[in-house]
Amino acid sequence: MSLLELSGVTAGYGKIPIIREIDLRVERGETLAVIGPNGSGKSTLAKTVVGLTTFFSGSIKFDGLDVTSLPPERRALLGIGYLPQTGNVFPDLTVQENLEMGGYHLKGAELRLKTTEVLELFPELRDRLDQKAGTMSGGERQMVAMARLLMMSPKLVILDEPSAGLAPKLVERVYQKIDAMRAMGMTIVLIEQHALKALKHSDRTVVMVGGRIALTGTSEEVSKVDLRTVFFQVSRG
Amino acid sequence: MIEEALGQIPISLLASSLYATAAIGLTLNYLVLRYADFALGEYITVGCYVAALLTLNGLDPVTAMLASGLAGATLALLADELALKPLERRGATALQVFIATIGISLLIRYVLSIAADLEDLLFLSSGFRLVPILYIGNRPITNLHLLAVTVLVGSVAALTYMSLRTRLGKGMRAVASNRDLAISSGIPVWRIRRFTRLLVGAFAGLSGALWAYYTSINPESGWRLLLWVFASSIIGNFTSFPLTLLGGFVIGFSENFGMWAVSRTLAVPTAYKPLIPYLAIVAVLLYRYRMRFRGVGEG
Repeated sequence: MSLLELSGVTAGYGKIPIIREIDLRVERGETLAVIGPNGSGKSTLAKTVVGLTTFFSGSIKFDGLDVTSLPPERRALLGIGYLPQTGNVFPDLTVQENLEMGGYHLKGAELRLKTTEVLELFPELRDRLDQKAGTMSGGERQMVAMARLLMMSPKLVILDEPSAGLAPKLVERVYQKIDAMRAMGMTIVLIEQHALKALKHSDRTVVMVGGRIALTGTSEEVSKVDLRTVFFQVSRG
Repeated sequence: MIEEALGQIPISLLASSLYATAAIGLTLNYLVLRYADFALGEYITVGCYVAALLTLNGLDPVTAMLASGLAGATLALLADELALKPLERRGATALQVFIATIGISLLIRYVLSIAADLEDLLFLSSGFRLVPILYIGNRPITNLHLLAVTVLVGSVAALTYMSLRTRLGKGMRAVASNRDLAISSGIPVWRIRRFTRLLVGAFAGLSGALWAYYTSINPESGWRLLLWVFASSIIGNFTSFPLTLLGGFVIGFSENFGMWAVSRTLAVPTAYKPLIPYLAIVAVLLYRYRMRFRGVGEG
C-alpha cells in the first residue's frame, strides 16, 4: 500500500482548476521530486495534498485512509507535514516556541525529548532558541521551519521549494538536511524549481507541465531526458 | 482650581481602567481572529445588567462581576459559533465578518431593549456603595477604583502569563502570527478561536460590571462606550497589549483633563466630551500614515 495516492485529482483556487487529472503514488521511504516550469502546478499539488486548495474531483488516500474531505488540520494530525515556500515560520515566536508549536500535541517529557532529537539534526539552532524567528535570515528561518516540521514526526514531509531565494552555500546546507532526513527513512515529496538539484537528491521524479504530469520515472531515468523538450513539447501541445 | 484639576485624576483613573479592560478584549480579538468585533459593546451591556441585577438581589459585587464576565464570555462565544465562524468557513472576508458583527450588535441591543422595557429596567442603578479611601484634589479614590485597577492589572497579568507560558497561549500567538501555517501544522485553530472568544467576552463583561457600579445603565451603555474602547485599541494599533493599555489611559486622562480645561477656559459644554477620543483616533491615524509614508515623494 502506497503512503500517498492521488487518483484523478483536479484542484485549484476559487473556481479555477490548476492541476488536472493527477494520478500519483508516493511509496514509504522514498523521496519523490516534483519538478516543472513556473506555473506548472507544483505548489498547487503540494497544497492539494495538505488541503489548502479547492478540490474539484478525484480522491486522495493517505496511509490507507481517504482524506479527500478532511480539513488541513486533520491531515496534519494524521502525519502530513508541510513546509510552505513562504510564511514557513511563526515570525513573532522564538525558535523554541516555533519548535513547541511543531510539537503542539506533545507534552512535558515527550516534548523535551523530541526537541532534543530534532536539535541533534539542527545543532545550529541550539544557541538561537530565544531569538524570534522573524529576525533571522532566510537560510536560518528555513532551518527553523524544517526543524519545526520534524517536531510533528510526520509520516510524509512535503517540502515546497526549500531552497528558493537562498544563496548557493545555504542551498547546500538545506540539502544536507534533506539528505539526513532521507537517511532516516522519511518519505519526502520535494517540490523544486532547481531540477538538477531535485534529481540528484531524490529516488523518483515527476515532471509537471501545464497542471498535468508530463513525465514520470526514476530520477536517474529522468535525468537522461532533455527536460527542455518535455516542457516545450507539452506546453505547445 | 488646583483641587479641581487634581480631582480629574481619580475620574481619569477609573475611566481609563474601564476602557482599557474592554479594549484588551477588542485587541485580542483582532490580533488572533483578524476582525474587530463591533458587538463588543453589547457584551459590555450584558455585563452591566448581569452585575446590576445580581448586586440588587444581594450578591456581593465581586461574585456578580465574575458572573458578568461569564455572561459576556458566553455571549461572545455564541455569536461566533452561530454566525461569525460559519461565515468564515464559507469564505467571508474580514470586512464581511466585521459587517456581520454590526448586525449582531443591533440584534442584541434591540432584544435587550425590548426585554428591559418589558421588565421596566430601561434605566437601572446597581446600588453599588462607593466608599472613599483617600482624596486627590476634590474627588475620592474609592473602593471601585481599587476593584477596577485590580481587575485590569490582574487580567493583563493573567493574559501575559498565559500567552508566554502556556501551550494554549502560545498557540494563540502562533495563530496571530501565521494562521495558515498554524492550520497546516495541526494546531487546533478552532479550539483556540473558541478560547479567544471566551476571553474577549469575559473582558467585556468585566468592564460592563465595573461600569454598572460606576453609573446607572441602560441598553445602550456598552454601545456608547465603543468609541472610547475603539480609540484605546487604535492607539495600540490593534496589535499591542501594552499600547492598548496605554491607549486606555491616554483616552481616559485626555478626555477628563481636556474637557475640564476647555470647559473652564472656553466654557465648552461637557456634551462635547466624545470629541476627544475622536480627535485622538484621527491624530493617531494621521501620525501612523505620516510615519509609514515618510520619505515617499520627498527629494
